Amino acid sequence: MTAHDDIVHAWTSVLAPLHGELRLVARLADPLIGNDTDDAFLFVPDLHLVSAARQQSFGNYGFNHRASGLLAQLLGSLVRVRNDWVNSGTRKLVTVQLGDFFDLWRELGPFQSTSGIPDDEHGALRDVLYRGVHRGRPCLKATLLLGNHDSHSGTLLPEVPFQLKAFNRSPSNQPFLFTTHGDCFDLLELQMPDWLQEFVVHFAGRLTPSNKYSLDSWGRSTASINKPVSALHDAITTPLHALDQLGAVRVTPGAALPARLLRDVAANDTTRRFSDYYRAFTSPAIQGTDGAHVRVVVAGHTHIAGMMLCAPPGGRPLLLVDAGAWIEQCTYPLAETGATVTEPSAQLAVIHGNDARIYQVRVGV
Amino acid sequence: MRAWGVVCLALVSCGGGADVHVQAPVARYDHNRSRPLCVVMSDEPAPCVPAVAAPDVSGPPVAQAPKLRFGAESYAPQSRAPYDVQYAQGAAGEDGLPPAQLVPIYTGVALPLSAAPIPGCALCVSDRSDLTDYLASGPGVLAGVDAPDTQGDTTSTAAKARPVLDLLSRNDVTSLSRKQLVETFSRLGVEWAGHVFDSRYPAAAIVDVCAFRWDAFWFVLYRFPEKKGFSRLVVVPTGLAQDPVSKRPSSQPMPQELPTPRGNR
Repeated sequence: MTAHDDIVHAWTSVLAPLHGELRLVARLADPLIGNDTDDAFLFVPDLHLVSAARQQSFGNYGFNHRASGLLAQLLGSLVRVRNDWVNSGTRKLVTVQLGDFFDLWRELGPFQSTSGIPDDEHGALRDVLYRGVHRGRPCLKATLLLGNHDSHSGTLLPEVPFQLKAFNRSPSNQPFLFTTHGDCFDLLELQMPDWLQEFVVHFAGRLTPSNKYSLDSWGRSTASINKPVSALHDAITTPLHALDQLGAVRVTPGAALPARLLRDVAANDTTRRFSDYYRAFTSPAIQGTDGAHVRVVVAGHTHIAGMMLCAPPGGRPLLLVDAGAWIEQCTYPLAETGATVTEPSAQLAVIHGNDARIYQVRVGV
Repeated sequence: MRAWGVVCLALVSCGGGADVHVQAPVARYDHNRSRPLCVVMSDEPAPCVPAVAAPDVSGPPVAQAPKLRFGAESYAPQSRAPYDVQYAQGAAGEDGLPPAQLVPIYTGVALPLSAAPIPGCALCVSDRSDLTDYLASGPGVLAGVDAPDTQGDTTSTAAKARPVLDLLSRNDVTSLSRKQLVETFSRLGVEWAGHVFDSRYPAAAIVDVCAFRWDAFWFVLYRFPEKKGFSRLVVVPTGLAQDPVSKRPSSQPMPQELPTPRGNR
């Protein structure tokens, strides 16, 4: 069994009693990924958790499959896989939550503090991702990236060990993987070198002016360019995302899967989010950083799962993996019938070897 | 009595700056995380016995000894690993917690900071490399005991921190008096702490302690009795929460904020 099979097996064991399954919504299996480790990488996208009390303000809109605790069950099933791999000296399971974990924008009012979130609110998810290690409970010891919804009046949830950006660990110290939340208001601005500062602001150019801000005025600028709370309610009137793909194959351990299920992007394509990443990672300034050999960028923020690849002949390849979300709805066609389904977004991305995948989790089918 | 209090505080004072608290083991950096530990004991079967320092003691050399693993989970209040500690007599509390965790209190990274490979340990990295890795993870990560499964930009961090780490690597710098040390590091424009609060040891155990801020971390330097100069280093994160940055939406929309079908994620 491959590492992918181990993970799929663990998840399908959780899903079977729920009449659930995994569907492949994007994939690239190709040596151009450039992974020189045997570690497996799991990416948990935007969750936007809010408390049960606050959830009542948003009706059905919110973290998907909350009642069943589906995500916590899926992640919990990987703790044993992770431990087995570590104990046998096989490999690591590296888990990254891509930011927007708790939605403090929606959770807290202007005079509330982060201490107002009950300890048991989404406790199973908090435990299995990062908190269990400090409580004697099973835990994936995930890296949690800071998203734009993870802070409230400049304060973060104190228990969360946020990281601003992350690379994979490489035996040659030439990481192939870079992860970031991917929002234009990111704290990355404060600490990233110029080559990344520029693209962080740039790639969201449809939403904000493409500018760089001095550190002294950043907090003020952030407040002025962010949207008002009322706009957040506007945003949830159209929470349906069409995933850009031809047909989602059902995934089982060992099943044959299409090697390429993604969108190809030209190096000179300037109309998409991808191009700003590509420009950053091909700029001369990237040398002298751990980004010099990066070939895969994994991000969240948009809530639209998919992969984009630029692989110009003789040029540097770059794969952008947008891991999607566990909020809002998605629509996509099934491979066997072509029928289009609409269901709660529930995506997870996995990379092992030179095989990157995004799955949609379905239940009740 | 009040005057004595002022004198005691002055012993751990570097000036009129901020207070620095040496935080929980999982937050502070006080040892090379890649180096395994073993325990030297002489009167019973021991996990390790020094091969060079005490050649008259029988047993396997340190390099062959069983290595102890103290991960972040060992510091949890519920932890019973690697040692299950119980009261010799009487019951434990009703909450089911063990009475204690038997875990190391690290004295700090040795100064001068070493970039030398660790002999006999292929998986170990030098003290300087491990410290650079910790700094690269950023101040919000509880990476003092376990190196995270992912890393920050270590190459950029090594270049950025080089002036500070180079000074800490020099014996002629770490052996300076406090006044000379402050003058030397101040040339890098660092900020000095007012007081250091360290719950690991009583004040009487420490001859002198000093802390300066570099980037988002406090570098705390210790001088212990009968040691020349500052011989140990602990690094403490300032914490992301201290950065005055708000991502919260403003109350007023800006003219350039046009409605979009995707809204504000």
